[in-house]
Amino acid sequence: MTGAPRRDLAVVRGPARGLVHAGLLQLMLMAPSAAAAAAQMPLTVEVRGGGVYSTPFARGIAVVPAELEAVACDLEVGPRPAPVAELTLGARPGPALVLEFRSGVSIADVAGAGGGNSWPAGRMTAVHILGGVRFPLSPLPGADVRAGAGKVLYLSSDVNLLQGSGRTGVLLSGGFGYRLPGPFAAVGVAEAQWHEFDPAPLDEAGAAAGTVTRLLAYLAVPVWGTP
Amino acid sequence: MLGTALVTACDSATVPALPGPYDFRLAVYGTDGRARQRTFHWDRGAVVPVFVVDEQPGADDLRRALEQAVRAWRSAAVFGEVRLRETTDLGEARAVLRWHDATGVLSTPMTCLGPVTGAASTLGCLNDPRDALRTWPRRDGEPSQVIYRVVIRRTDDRELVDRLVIHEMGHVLGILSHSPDPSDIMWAGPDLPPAPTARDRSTLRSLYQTPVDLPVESASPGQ
Repeated sequence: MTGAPRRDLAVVRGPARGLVHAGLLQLMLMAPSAAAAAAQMPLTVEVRGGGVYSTPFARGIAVVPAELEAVACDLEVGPRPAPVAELTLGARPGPALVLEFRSGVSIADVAGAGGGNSWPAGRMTAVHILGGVRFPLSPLPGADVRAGAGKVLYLSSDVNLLQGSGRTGVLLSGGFGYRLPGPFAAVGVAEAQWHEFDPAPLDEAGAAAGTVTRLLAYLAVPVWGTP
Repeated sequence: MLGTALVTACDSATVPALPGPYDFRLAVYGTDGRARQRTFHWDRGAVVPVFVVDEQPGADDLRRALEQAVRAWRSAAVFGEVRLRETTDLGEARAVLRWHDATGVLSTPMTCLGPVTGAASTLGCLNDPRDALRTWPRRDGEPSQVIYRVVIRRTDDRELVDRLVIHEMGHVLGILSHSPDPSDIMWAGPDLPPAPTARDRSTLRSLYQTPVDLPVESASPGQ
């Protein structure tokens, strides 16, 4: 078993990682003036419910003995699609801007996959907290675009990948909403979130930090205040 | 008959250390006398039940050591590939752990004979063509799913027992050979470390990324 080649245990990567930092900086610069304005604005409380799909936390092979590399299979582990619930506090400083503070939670089964089968790898709770803005999309009445940044926290007692440090990450989000026809002031929202992922167990395997993408689709319903 | 038994007694000599994961495969000698390296592991995602033989003094020491082994190996399976757990139901057990001087719950067919030459051993049985693992028959004649019999030589050194059980549970998980590095828990000699090293953990992960070519033969009633 000499000459064992190393292959990075790569989490999903992409240009989104750089955007996380750039987006966060932009929002931090906007925050002081926006917060001051929001303090004098009418507030809205929304509840949101829907589903979340996440790209795998990790995939690949850490180290493979040379004789076995040809037959070794890639494995991956990540959360299964799960329901997500969110509570949002919004303020409207002007007709063309809404500031919002959001906190959401999802409980997901985590699965491993590889070699032609999949298996349960535990259960986790993901909590996200975000500050963001949304603007009307002027060509489309009832439509808006939205962006935000915050943090995500993963909690689990039985998902090995989420043990130890590295379970939190800076989160950047972007999406759009559309006011649904009907008697209720419901808004359908599609959103993508990106966060860094670099837990300690991957460090042991010599893996580099990467980015996880979460895709959310949910319905937002105002329960208090003026939408 | 000795040739058909798979024995991983833990007192063999060491060889120079190598980087990366060590070879986890078992050298199986076929009827033609040639050795082939074979890989066995449980289905990915499996929880492997281990039965501790209770009718003996010191069973609690083994039970405590097994708890440590469960924790020690669990964290190595980053993808949730496998884990161990204790069971009190012999009918579901895939491995049986006992002191060497205790009466076992398994009977020993001629094809499973093998020496217990070290401080501890994990013994499995090969079928007749030597291309699969077979289950151990139970003394009471009930159906068995047991693949490994794990025996620990009695000692008052609890720390040693803990380390031996972690080592043997490494075999139960599928590391069917020994590390060439004396610092690893899966080394075959004395002075084992208290827990699996990074190399041991890496080896376990590599094992579960490799296809099985030493399957388990389906159990027949009464075995």
